[in-house]
Amino acid sequence: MGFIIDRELYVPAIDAWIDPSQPRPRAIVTHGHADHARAGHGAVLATPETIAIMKVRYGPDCAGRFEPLRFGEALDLAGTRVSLYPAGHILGSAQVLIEAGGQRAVVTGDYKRLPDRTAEAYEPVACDLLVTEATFGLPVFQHPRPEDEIGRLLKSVADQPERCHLVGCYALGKAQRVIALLRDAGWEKPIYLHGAMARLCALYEELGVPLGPLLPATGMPKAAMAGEIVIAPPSAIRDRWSRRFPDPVVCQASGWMSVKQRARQALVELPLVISDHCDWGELNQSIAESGAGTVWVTHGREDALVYWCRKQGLEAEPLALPGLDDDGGGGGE
Amino acid sequence: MKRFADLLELLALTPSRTRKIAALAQYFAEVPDPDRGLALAVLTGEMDISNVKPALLKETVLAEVDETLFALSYDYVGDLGETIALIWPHHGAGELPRLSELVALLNATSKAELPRVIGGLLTRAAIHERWALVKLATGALRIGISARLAKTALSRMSGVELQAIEEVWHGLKPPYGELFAWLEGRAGRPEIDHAARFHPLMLSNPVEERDFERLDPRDFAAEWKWDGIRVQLVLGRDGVSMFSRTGDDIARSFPDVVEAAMGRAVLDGELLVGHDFEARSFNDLQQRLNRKAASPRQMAELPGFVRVYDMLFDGDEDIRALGWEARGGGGGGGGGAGAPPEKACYLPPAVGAPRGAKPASPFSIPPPGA
Repeated sequence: MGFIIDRELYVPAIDAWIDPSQPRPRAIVTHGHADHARAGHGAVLATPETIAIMKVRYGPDCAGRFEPLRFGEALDLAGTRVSLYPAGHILGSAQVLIEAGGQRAVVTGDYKRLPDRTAEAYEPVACDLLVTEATFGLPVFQHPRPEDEIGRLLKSVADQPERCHLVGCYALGKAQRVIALLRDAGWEKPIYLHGAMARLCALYEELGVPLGPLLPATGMPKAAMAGEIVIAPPSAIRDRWSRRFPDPVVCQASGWMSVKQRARQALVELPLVISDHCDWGELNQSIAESGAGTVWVTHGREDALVYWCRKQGLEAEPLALPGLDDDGGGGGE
Repeated sequence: MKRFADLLELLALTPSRTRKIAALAQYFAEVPDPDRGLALAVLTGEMDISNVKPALLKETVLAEVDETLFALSYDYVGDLGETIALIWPHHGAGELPRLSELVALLNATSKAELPRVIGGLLTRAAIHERWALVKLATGALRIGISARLAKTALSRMSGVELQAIEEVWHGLKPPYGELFAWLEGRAGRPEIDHAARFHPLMLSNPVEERDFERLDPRDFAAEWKWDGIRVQLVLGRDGVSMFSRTGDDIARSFPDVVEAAMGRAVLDGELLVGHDFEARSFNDLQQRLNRKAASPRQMAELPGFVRVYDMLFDGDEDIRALGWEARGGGGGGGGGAGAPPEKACYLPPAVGAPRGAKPASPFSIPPPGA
């Protein structure tokens, strides 16, 4: 059976690529992370939030033209309909639904199903062809409740008031979510930010996600940082930059942190299993709910998810998309 | 169990040795008997839950998880215990029993019942507790903790010297009630059978080129470096023990050595194999190591013997405070007295010029006076 999108996520009927890794005349961008949103496209179709994020990250002229499409609105292009549904991954993140000739194809982008007040909540979308990510596509990934993980962080802060907690987070999405989780858990003190976090946190606030008092992490006297929480990119927390803090506890918020060997290798003392992706059970659930008879799997551990789909009687195959991190390590923000 | 799981996680992830010791000391100070003693046994590798083997755990999991998905997961995670902990698909309410009840349960359960019991425990456990449970059940911690670190923490907790703890350690058994009673000042030092007592060895250290400038040759004596394993022979009132360098009693594997030993003493030496005290290769020795019992044929072909370096106890008298020469250093007695002091190195008469022995370079030199 022919599909209305191809294995490079190109939609021939409207001459557009979804999350292309190189500049294209027309791109539909699911969300603002660098392995999905790139500069230099002719025209970009995305949610208004994703467009705002791209402009902050790459500059206001990073695409020839921007075309915002809100959730729930559809764009009809000569018989091919394009609409966006919330993916729950980060602010503005979308699944792309393409409809033509009675066929429905959904590209999930990155997605998660756990509640997160910094992102619009995931909605299941019925389709014939589902292109799903598989960042955590192994049954060993069973994400715990993020509230419990934040509870562990706050307990560590309370138990070791003489130390500074450095939480490694991706600058876009994870940082803001961790801050929001801290606020919701009752942490009212200022949260200190590495410089790389500041612009995107300010953007989230502009877009209606309150994050509470935030201060730059640099410029404070060392002793004053005891008992405080600093949010920084994972690369900074083990680097010289971290030496300005008193006896820092290296923390990292990531789905990878469930594997202790990985946490040890990364010299993380307090791993926080907080993921912006579906875990194994949620991937299974999402595939089943979509009703899709064909599943293409990308981004991560494709083998296991393809195997699982086939066992469910679905047509399934892995997609080897260029430009995506496939070692399962630090990528897939 | 939760407390123990938290401790294991902290030990696995905290890079600082000082902080690991502090966490261990706090655990031993706060957790009641017998749980803390069992935790100590797990950490020092003395815990043996004999029925639970990795293969049985894997079988338990494969009854619930697709084999291909398990294999892909194991391939990714790289550690069987951690794979099992992470992949277990069921979550139930309830808490794990305390450590001592858990150990008793696992020991009392028949092999046929174990998969069901372990499955039930995994379902009740939180994810990091599952990890600790698997580590506990298989005895393979692999979190970079040595038995010595655990004993150092006991010393920190109690103020009792590490060496004093190590001296009684090998006469004690889990859950170490009398050890904790002594460390907390509630009882005297445990009465350890002399024969079961292991005296921590003074190990040889390599001499670097630059060390020679600071060392006076007249302060030293030389020994042949034999290619065997260092042992401590404890000839006690009730029998003979032979400890390896790490304090494991290997006497059972060498009944020929044990039966030939006479007198009352604690001796430091090298275990070798060969006829007429002529040492054969380490490979030959290895054929007799790591065997629970020696076969008569092996004992005939590769008889064991010990080259004595030093005497630590003469009868019941602790002579370690005496100088090496006064202790009869060099073996056979009188080695020190017969040695011309102006010589930089000499071979103790008992060692002589053995056939087949090769002096290692640099010489293994016991520190002066010991």
